Parts: sequence; structure tokens; C-alpha cells
Amino acid sequence: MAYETEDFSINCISNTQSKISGILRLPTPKEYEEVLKDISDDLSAAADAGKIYTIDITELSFLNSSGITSFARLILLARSKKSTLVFKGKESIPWQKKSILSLTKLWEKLEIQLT
Amino acid sequence: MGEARNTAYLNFMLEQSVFGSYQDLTELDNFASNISIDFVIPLELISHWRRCGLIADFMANYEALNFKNKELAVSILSTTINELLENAIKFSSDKNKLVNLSVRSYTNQLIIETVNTTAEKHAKKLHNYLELIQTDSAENLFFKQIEENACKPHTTCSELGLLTLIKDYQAVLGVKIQPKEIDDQQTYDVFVQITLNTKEIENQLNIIDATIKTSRKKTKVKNCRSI
Repeated sequence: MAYETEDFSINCISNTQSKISGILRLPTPKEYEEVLKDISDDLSAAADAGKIYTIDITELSFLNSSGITSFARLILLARSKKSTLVFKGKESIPWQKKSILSLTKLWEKLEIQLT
Repeated sequence: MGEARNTAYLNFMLEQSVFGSYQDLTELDNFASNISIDFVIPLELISHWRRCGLIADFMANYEALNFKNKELAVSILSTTINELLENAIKFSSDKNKLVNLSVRSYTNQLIIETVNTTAEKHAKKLHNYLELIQTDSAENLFFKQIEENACKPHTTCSELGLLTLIKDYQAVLGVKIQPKEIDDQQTYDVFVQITLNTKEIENQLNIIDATIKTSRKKTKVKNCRSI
């Protein structure tokens, strides 16, 4: 399962892992729903099976506020199923250090691993 | 009660509203650099949306020359400029109307401003939103908004952009909403300003830079041990 455009790519590597790379600045949260649907479905299934789901964003250099809303929805999905969700990011990408890190307040089983 | 509300609404329709730290840029002429661009992005064509990011990146690269750590500065500035620009374009009353973006650099601050014309319903919504922003911390409002957005799966507005800038980048917000009549239709010129403290940004960039260097050193030591 993959989604590839000139600006970004979304790859579901396995049922419990995905990678989002590039620049993600879609106009509205509605547009994000479509491109993140596979991740959302896999996350839901992984949670039901008691597995941890991991999203690698180490190569995602930009995400706008509509994207933050959509990432927050994934976190709330994990929360609703009491499941662990991991974001692997990078210290050197300011929005990740600032915005994504603060989302840990939404769910105690959200792990942000910045390297 | 109803009469008071009607009067407030009538005043809103006819009078200029100013929120936060809004400053008239024409009165601030001691800038170190100033770049301004007028453009039109027809939103009907989704492929044109990418132009927001292109413009934000260009402006960010231009202004980042004033910072020691240019690469990290570009990232913060592009994020900030892009959020303002996306709002200005989304809420323009006529998709063929000009949007103006300017970035002015002063001794210790950077002022990013967008100007667009918007319809009455959007102006009123913005007015209410700005009043709400003054009632609580950006952080509390940010998390409340996220929970609200979760209940609206097909929403076309996140309403998190300005809150994110205030919460994560210590941005100071200023807005002016100016009524104007075009062809018998009530519209509004909306001036949205974000002021960033350049010393504060430089400090933030130094912290990020130091963390990256420490992280690299640790990785090197780890690799050496494993050899």
C-alpha cells in the first residue's frame, strides 16, 4: 500500500509500520483523511490485535496545521482503543520537536522517539 | 439583550476591529529588510495549492539569511508563513482577488503580514475566534480544538494554525478587520500579523542545534564501542 506524489510519499511497510516522507501541506483535514486512510485502518487493526503501531516521520520535513489535526486523529484513534502508537521523528526538524512532541498530552501511550 | 446583540453586530459590520498586537506597518519604517508579494491563487484548481508552500519557502529562504543557522530558520519561518498564507487564501471572498504577503525584518523582530478580502460570514467567524483566543491559553484552546475536530471527520478547517504558531513558536498575533463595500456587497479587508522575536528564534535554533550535535556525538561513541 503506497501513496506517492511529487511532494510526499506514504508507505505502509507492514501491518504495524508506515513511513511518511517529504512535504505534507494539503489544504484541509478532509484531504488528509483520504491519504492517511490505509494508516488509519492498519492502526485500528493493529490495536485490535494488541500490537504497537509505528509511524516513521524522520523524513517528513513539513506538516501544516490540517496535517497536525489528522495526526491528532490517529492518536485519538489509538487512545480510543487503549493502544500504543509510536512516532519516530528527528530532533533536527523544528516542527517535530515543537508540535508533535506536545501531542503526548493527548494520550499517555503515545511515544515520540526523536533521534 | 437582543437589541444589544444587534447593536454589537451592526458595529462589527461597520467599524474597524483591531485585536492583539496589530501595528500599522506604514508607520514602522525603520525596517532592515522588507519583501512583499501580491498574488492570486485560484483554489478551484487543487494543483495550485502547492504555490502556497512555494511562496512560503521562498520568503523563508530570503529572510533566513538574517539568521546564523539558516537551515533551521528556514524550517520555522516557512511553517509560520505558510500557515498565514493558507488562511488568507482559504478565506478570500473572491478566488481571483489579490492576496498580499509581506515579511519585514526589524532589529529584534520579524513581522509577517497577510492581507486579503473576505466575505461577511468569514469575517464574523474570525472576529469570534479572536475573541475566544483572548479567553484562555493557546495550549488549552489547542487541545480543546483537537478534541472538537475529532468529532467533525469531514471538517475543512482545522482552526489550529494560529494557535500552533502562538503555542509552539511564541508568535505574537495581531489582526485588523476593516469593512469595505464592493459592488453593494459587504466585504472585509483582513490584516493578519505574526510578530516573531528574532533573538528568541535564534535561541530556539541554538538549542535544537546543540541537541543534534550531542545526539551525533552519542551515536559516534556508540558506533565506536560496537566496533
